[in-house]
Amino acid sequence: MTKVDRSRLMDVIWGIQRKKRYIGHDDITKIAQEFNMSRMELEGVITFYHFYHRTHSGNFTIYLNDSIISQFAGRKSVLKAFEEAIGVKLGNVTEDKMFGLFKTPCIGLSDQEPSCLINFRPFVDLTPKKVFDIISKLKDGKMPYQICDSPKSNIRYTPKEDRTVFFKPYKKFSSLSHLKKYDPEEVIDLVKRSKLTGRGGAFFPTGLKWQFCRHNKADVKYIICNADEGEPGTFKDRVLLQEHPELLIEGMIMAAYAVGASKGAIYLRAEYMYLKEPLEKLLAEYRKNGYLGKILNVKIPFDFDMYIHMGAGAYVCGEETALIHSMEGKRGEPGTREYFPVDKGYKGKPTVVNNVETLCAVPKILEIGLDKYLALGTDATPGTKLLSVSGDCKKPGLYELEWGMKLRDFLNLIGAKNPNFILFNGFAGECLSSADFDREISGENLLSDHIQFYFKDPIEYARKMSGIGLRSGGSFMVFDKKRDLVEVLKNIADFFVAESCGICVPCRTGNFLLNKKINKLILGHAERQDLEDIKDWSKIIKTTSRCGLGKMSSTALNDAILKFPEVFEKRLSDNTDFNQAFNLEDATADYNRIINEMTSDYE
Amino acid sequence: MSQKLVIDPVTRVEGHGKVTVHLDDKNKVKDAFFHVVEFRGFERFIQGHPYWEAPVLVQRLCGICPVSHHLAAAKAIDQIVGIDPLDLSLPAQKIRKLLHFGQVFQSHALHFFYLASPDLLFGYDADPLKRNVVGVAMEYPSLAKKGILMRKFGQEIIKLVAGKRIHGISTTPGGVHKKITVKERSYFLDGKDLPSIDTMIDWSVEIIDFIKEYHQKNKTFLDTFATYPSGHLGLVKKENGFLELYDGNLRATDAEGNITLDDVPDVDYNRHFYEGVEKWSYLKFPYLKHIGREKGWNRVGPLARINICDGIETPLAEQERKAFKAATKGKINNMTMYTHWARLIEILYCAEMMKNLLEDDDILSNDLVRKGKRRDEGIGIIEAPRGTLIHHYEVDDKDRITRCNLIVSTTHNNEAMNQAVRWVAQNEISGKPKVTEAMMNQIEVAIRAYDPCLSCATHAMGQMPLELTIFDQYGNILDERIRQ
Amino acid sequence: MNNLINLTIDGKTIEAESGRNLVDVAKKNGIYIPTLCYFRDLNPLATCRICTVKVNGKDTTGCTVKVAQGMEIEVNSAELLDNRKAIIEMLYAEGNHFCPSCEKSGNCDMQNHAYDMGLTVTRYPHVFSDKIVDFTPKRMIMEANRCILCKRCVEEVKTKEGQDVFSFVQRGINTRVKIDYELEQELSESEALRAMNLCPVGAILVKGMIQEQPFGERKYDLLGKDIKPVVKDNNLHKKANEKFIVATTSLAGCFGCHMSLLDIDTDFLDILEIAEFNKSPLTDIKNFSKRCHIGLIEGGCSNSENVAVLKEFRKKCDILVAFGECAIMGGIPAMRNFVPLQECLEEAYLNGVTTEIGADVVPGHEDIPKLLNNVYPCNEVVKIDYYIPGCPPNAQHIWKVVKSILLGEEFSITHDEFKYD
Repeated sequence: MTKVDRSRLMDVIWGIQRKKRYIGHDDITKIAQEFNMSRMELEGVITFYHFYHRTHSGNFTIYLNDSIISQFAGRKSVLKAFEEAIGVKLGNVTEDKMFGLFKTPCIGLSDQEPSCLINFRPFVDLTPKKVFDIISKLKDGKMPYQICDSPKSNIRYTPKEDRTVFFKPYKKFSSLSHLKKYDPEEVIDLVKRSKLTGRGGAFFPTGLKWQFCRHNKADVKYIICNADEGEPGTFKDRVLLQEHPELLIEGMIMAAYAVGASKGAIYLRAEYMYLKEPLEKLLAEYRKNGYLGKILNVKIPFDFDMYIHMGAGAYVCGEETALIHSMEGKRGEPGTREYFPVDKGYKGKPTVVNNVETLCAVPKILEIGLDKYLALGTDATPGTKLLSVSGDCKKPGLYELEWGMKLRDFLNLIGAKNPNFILFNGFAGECLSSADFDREISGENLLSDHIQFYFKDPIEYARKMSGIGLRSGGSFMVFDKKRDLVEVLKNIADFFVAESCGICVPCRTGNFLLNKKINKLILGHAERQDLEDIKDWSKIIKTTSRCGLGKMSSTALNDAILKFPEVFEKRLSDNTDFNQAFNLEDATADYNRIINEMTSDYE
Repeated sequence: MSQKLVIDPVTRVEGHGKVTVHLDDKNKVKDAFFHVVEFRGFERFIQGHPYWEAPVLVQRLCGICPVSHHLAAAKAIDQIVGIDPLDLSLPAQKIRKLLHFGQVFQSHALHFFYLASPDLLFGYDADPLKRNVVGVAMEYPSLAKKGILMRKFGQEIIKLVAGKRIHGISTTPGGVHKKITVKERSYFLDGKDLPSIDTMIDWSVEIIDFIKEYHQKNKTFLDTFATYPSGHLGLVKKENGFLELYDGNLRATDAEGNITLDDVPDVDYNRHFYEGVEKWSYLKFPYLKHIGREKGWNRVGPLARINICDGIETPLAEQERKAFKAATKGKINNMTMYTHWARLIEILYCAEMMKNLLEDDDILSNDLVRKGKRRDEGIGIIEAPRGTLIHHYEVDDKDRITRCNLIVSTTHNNEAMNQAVRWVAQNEISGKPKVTEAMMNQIEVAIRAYDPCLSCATHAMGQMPLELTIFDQYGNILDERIRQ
Repeated sequence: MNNLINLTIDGKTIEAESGRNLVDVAKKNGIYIPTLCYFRDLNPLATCRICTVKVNGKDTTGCTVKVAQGMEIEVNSAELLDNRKAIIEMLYAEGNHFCPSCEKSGNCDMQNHAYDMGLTVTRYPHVFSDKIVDFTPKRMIMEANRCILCKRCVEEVKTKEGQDVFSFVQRGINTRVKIDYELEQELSESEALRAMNLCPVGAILVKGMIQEQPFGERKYDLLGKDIKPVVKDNNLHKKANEKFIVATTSLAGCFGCHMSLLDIDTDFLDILEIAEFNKSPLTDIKNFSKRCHIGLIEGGCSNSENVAVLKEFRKKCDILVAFGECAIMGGIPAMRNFVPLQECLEEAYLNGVTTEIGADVVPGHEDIPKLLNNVYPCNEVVKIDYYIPGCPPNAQHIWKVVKSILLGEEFSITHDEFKYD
């Protein structure tokens, strides 16, 4: 049995997708042969990802963001403009194959919506007028890279100069000099004492993770940076990659040094393809300066190099085991949790997977010095956090805050006028209301998961949760009083149904069935019993799902039911013996039409 | 003022049926219809299923005669695997026939005792609250008990062969999958836990005596009520034209007895029949092509079978058949109410045949399945309790069913039942000053004689309950009393 | 290596070898953790999730747990039991499981779990999505309607070169298992059979190797446990010395459930001592003449007439019992949900083998009811109080349940009686 290295598989598929705009039948035959895979298995990998097409996707492939922030910013008229300008409806390709128009979930430009990607080049702050302009230029022969936007970084706020961690001037290579005086165990110790936790939203203690990995003996170990940033409303990693990519590279070098890894990779989401080239150039610089490859200028010399692996459009690949499978050339399905990545990860070897922000923090901690760093933020969560803000506020964009700011103050800072509800930590996060405004953005006094299921009403909630900290991976979406909460929840539910990997029953089927319940609410067919069902079904999905997607997909929904009972109340009718959703007229409409059509003659 | 009378649902039949009678302003019957309101769509949704699923699936067309469908489909599927009815192993043929006789026995017993007897015992104009099987059980307990046990016997035979009383599994392509053991069959022969087959034969003779007496007492009514000319269709034995229920040739006669379908092989059925469609019923109207829609329709079922056959192979039943024929001096019997008598003759026939088969050691054999050369078309025709049942399947090379045609027994009786409704309407209701519940029940009595199986017939979904309401021409309800 | 450790499962202390699989350890000690996708401990699949247990307070799948010293395992708490049932119910709602006509019925692992759990009806609405049955492979059929995506076939069926014959394609609710056509041809007869037997449900079939087994002698007809269902508080408005008033109807059913009602044979006369029948196809009472205590519904809703009758039953009866698979989930008639209504009508009336030349009439008249676009299970139209599964349900079973409901008594259902086919 010949084992072929499939880690290159996605690159090969991308090569064809980029050149031909689709993967054809013969391509599949050839690729399957080359990688010694069965044809159907290869189809399974290709059809898993959103950006691989089996039919031509248009010379100019347009992906229009459909997240709720984009909807509220005017996506509808932008979509109409696109459809008019190119002449086909969403989901189709023009007959001459020049344009293909598709929808896609959040592309990391929530502060500049409505936005889209054309051939993976970003176009932001779209208006119908701008759309017509873009399309006409493309028709005239311009290429997307010539007319695209450069997304702004929009850094709205940082703490005072000496209290800022990320966004202040930084000299390339400078933090790596610390590696001359520390050996690997000392680096781990520093990271542990800094109380740095995973900034992607899982908040696992970074130092501990590195320590576990270090203790596992293996001939090769890996450092993987999770730059998938798929959580809707998050764009902080994009900004870091735009402003300080050197911090990421140096962070990875430090991680490799600490755990004893010799290979690394950056898993970059496809929606950030425009950041790949500058990153590659930067990596080349590091190699030229002896900081990648054979690294000698450190206390214990070691080998380490890294490459960039492009994602292909799957939110679930932000989960670390799914990410690893994706990099191995398989479907991006999360693993069975039998082993942690630090024990058996990429290709079965000890692997550390860290978020961009986490890795960027490490060089900064060394630079600032542990004592000064610990003086920032709070006791449980020292340092700063990056928050990507979007929605109904005067100043959407990137905020670097010391941990410990009260939510109320933050809302003032961002210029939120009438904040009604907040999606804190993206679609998979909590739904906050005014009952939470006195809470602190920090890791203080955290409670165990799912606790919000056990409160009876908003008042009990406010009382018991007031001293509890709020932690977010970075996404912060605020909505004012004119927005419909149920519409937002529907957008969230649609997202999870589309992004579920499908491998485990509760997430795949459960989310779909929950979505149907939300439809009942929207159509006005819901009864009180339906709300009880939503709570019960959500609990089951949470406890039995395999990965974070299933576990967190119904959090915002249940939070909303608890905290905004009046919104749901007015959509409910009392329990009856008759199912409101069943409508005899609708059910017999087909028959009426058939009989009418069949009885007509040449009159 | 013209009216529309409605019976909705027709009760004490299987399935949903509805009757409307249109009266003109002199209360004369303008027209009358028997609507079947069920539709299921089996012929379409079974396409795409693997062919071996057909027998198990299609028996869900009907809960009273699932075995008929199971066997008809099995005969068709046998042909798909290259086995014609006579190519089956002898044990398999006999086991299938045992199953079939068991279910005809059970179905006829059900119809006679549970559904039809209330009218015969209490009279069609008796109190509707009493006119049902519960009433029979109260007033004629020993008769009711015999009826229940006769049905039980038939159901137990089915359970023996198919594993379950209703919707069991017995056939496999090219044979059956289970033989009978000595212990199993002694259950039916020794009379210990269940009245034995001999008792069944005795009771069948008893009940025929009852019906003969009933006919003598009510001769004028029974000879004229709902009597009209019609064709008659059924299977007959290939070798001698005798009564045949499992496998034979198609024979049809007209109302006078002239042959209209001369013992044709059953697989040629579609050369001879068309099915007409009316807007006012989901049930179709089969008729013989060469005669045409108006007169080419046939009755099927016990009356037709006894009419067209040249004899019955079992002695006691043959005796009774002769007595039956004597009532019309050997001519074709078009008197609808005689169907009950004919049905009871068939019960006796089935009982005698079951005895023969139970005592035949071939059913204990292991030689159960045969295989032949694969074909893509299969036709299975069988005499279900209610009449000729036709199953026809086409299969592609990937084993999928691509086409399916089902002509279910009661469909043939569709026109006959409409005639019955019209007859009663014309003769009992037309021109009368007032319409009573008893008159409406008479319509149902005529329909019930056919023992219609309306779910089967429309291989559709839905049942047609029969109700009776009287509207005026504006659609206002006239008679509240009947509506209760 | 034989490192013995102690752990507790549901409060019971157990000794086992460290690192062994929890499901196996529990089984050896008489504690049953239900599994569906679990095949062998070398490669736990953890896709079905019904083996979810609590380990030291944290929810996880039992099949991926390796026992260690001091572990506290909870297997059979009320919540965990309900979770397992809910997952099976999700599977029944997601797929198109027609047990009455399925080749694997009686040998099906998923069906057996459902029987053991006493599952009468799924709490989730049936999806009735149109899934493709793949007949293209040379020897095998992939029945996507029944596939539960357990991944056993994907992981276990390989060619000599180690390539996958079965693969997942697409994502989320569109995930399907597809067979690689070229590699499938290379499988030997025994390998194909192995794949068919590996599948816990009837999703993988090998043409010509479908064994018909006698009803009552299939694998799970002989194994399994009896169940004790819960009788809810009833709203029976019954006066003393009054007989129970029973109404029955058959909507879009085949009447088999009613026939099963009569299959108690002579016991029927005993039933008549405590019950009388009102509106029913067995009596001539065509409309409700009084309020009924219990209404037995057979069949789902296929046309407007069915809906009207069902709604009336809900109004006129204290308790509604849906009996038979048709009433519970649509049954065999619900197979028409995957075909547009137009095609069903055309096939029957315009394009059949024996339709007249130039036939152009499709029934449609004021006196016949309109067909619904789909067949609806009864509980999607009105609220139903009890469910009796079966196709048809066993006669003894029906009357036992009905009597117990009417008298408010506890009862148990034997394994033989509780069937879906």
